[in-house]
Amino acid sequence: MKIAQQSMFVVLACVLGGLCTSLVIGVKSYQLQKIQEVHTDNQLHLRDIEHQKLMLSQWFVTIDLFFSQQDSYLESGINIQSKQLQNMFKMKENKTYQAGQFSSEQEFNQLTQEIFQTRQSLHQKIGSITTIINRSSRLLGSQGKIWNNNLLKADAISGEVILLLNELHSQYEQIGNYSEDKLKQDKSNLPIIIGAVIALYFLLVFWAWRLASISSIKPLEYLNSKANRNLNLNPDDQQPFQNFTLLKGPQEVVELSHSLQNYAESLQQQIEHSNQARIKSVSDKNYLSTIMDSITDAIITLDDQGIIRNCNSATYQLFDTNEKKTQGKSINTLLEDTYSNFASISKLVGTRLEKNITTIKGNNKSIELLITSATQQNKTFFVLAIHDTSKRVENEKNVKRLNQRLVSASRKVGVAEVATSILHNVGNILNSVHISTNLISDTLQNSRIKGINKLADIMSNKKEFFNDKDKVEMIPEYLNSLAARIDQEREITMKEVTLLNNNINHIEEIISSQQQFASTSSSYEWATLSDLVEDAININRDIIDQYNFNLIKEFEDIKDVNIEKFKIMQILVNLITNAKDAILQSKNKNPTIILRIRSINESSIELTVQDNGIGISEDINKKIFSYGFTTKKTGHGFGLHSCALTAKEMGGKLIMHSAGHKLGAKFVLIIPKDNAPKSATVHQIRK
Amino acid sequence: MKNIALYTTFLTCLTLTYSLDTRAEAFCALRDPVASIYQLYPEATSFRSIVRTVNKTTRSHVINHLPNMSLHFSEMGRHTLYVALKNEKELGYVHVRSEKSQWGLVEVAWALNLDLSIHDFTFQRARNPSRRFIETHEFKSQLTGRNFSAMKTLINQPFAEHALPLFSDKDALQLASVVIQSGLKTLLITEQTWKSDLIDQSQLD
Repeated sequence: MKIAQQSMFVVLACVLGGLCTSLVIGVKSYQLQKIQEVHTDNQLHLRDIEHQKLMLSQWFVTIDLFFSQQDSYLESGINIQSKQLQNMFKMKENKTYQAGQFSSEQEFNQLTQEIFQTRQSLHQKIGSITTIINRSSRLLGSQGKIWNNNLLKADAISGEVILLLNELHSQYEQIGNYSEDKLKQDKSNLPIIIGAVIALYFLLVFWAWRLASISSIKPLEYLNSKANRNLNLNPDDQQPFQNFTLLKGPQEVVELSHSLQNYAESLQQQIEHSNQARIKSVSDKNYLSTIMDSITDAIITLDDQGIIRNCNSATYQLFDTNEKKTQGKSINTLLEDTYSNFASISKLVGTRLEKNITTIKGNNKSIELLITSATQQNKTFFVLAIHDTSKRVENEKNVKRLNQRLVSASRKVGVAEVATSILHNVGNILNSVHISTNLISDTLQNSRIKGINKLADIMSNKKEFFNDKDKVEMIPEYLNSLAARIDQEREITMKEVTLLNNNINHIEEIISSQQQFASTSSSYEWATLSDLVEDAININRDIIDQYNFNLIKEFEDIKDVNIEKFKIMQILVNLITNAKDAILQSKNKNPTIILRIRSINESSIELTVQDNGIGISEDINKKIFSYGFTTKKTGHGFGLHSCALTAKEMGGKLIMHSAGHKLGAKFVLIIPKDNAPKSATVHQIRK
Repeated sequence: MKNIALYTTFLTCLTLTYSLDTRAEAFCALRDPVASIYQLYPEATSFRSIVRTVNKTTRSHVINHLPNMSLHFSEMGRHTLYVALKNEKELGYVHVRSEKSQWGLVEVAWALNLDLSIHDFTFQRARNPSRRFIETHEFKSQLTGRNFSAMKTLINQPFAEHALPLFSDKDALQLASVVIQSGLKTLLITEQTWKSDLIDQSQLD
């Protein structure tokens, strides 16, 4: 129920209670007044009866005078008095009293009726007496028995009148007693009733107050106390808020309690979040501070006036200073000419500067300075990240030296790699040569040409031989067969000799290539890439032929390029060798190597060696170009590393693509078409 | 005791009130008391009447003996004393007196013994309905045998003590007072007015 409705009920209850109280008091007062009226009226009646008694007494005296003195003039007086008496006894007001005024209404009504009858009887009796007097008056002067009888009748009726009057008096007294008792009772009861009604009214008001208090004020006090308790809670104690929720009470207060509860829960959550955020902030601050202190680079925060606001411990180490000498001081005390005004430093934001500084202690250091800016609360501040590059510069010098040595070593390795390939190929060819020579040798050793000698021996004993006709007849057949066999041997020997010759030529070519590349220094020369690739293939030709590799060549028609031919050859031989090894390792039944030359743009060319070999797994992918890394049992991890360095050295790069293990690999060498320095020597290449 | 004192005071006041009444009505017997004589003396066979006049002397005598119960002037005049006889033998006297009461005149026929003590009485006229209480034996026995002196004591307290239990209502008490007053007057007036006649009668005996 809403407070307004409750208030209305309370007010209505109070008003109705007041009205009822007033009504009860009014009714009781009215009844008391009525009873008082009855009582007063009755008292008047009783007084009237006394007066009537007196009048009746006078009337009787007059009658007595009439009868004793027998004066006729007394008759008129008696008549007048009798009329007066009759009028007095006549019920002028037939008053009806309200029910409930007397304890016994029936008795009262009976009394009233009796009074009426008594008065009526009195009226009649007085009339009767008057009639007797009037009759007696006519007998004046001749009194006798009738007179005496009239006298006795009049006395008898008079006695009845007196009785009736006494009865009337008694009846009025009864009514008087009733009314008096009732009046007394009501008078005594009235204060009790009024008191009781007022008490009830006050009880009602109290109840209304209690109702309002319990239903409206108590819930509000409850909420107030809860709110005060919550106010006294220390957020650090992490105590839960007092529960505001009310189940009973005015609708508004219940809704208010729910809202307060929601608000409290929200507030508590916010406090918890705030605490967590504060803890996190402190943690982050500590973490950040730890990070900042753990960073070897100096981090300095400047305000828009170039004043140092924060810096980490690395700053003090870098500049050989301390907190007192830096905090609140200009950045120029550490880095000269860094800040002249806001605009000047703003221009430096995002740039990386390298400087040489001299610390307070006189140490010379090389630094790298990166300035960034940030805005917080509409204020711009600058963050200076200063890296001590002294060691790096020194290392770079060392690296440069090492790199030069490494390049030299790589070159040597490359040369050795090529030489190894050549020697391997030559060795292979020499095997063929050896086989061919062995075959020729065997052919010659097992030649049937010896059969001629045998035949000559047989034929030297002509007698026996020619006597034996059968043997003579067999000689042509034998010679034919021997000739065929010798011819066959000759063909085999010629074939082997031809092969031997080819192999020797091949060795000559390989050695010639070796001589060609071995004698070439790092000099640029114009070359045809397809020829270069063919040469690289030829170096590995024997294996390609041996295992019957499918060679797919996709060469674009590209003009000669000015390149370091030896280095390109070195890379290609290495890549083809790797492709061959990968295919052999995969035991692929359809070994295929794709060689591709294509122009990427006007300045770059792409040379691709792709195989369907064992492939390169993802974990190996990242370290494939690392120095010393190899997947071969006999590898030394120089090849690809050297190739990558060589490609970079030529201003190009070497890229590897592999879909994964057993899915083949693709090496792409990207080189500029003309990356030769202007002073580079240009050699005319040999086709 | 308080009630007795109140009633005594009331009776005294009532007596005084009536004694001071100045009205000039004549209060004599309205009816012939013959019936009353035979009622009072049932054995009576005849009666004799002696008429005498109640005069100022009598009135003065009454005033002297009954200061609060003076005779009204209308009561003065010729009055009759009846002598009840049984075969010429006097049984007693009968005198009727009218006395003013609340409800008009009360006529009491008094029967006196020959020694002028109360023998009996009866009402010839009395409107008061409480007469029935007065006519009871209990009340009459209070008066029977009393002469004037003894009768006079009844208006004092002892009478009230005896009389009160008899009367439950005020009217009866008033009528009793009237009756006693009437009796006292009757005894006194009879003795005063018919003294010579009574002596003669006694001498006759």
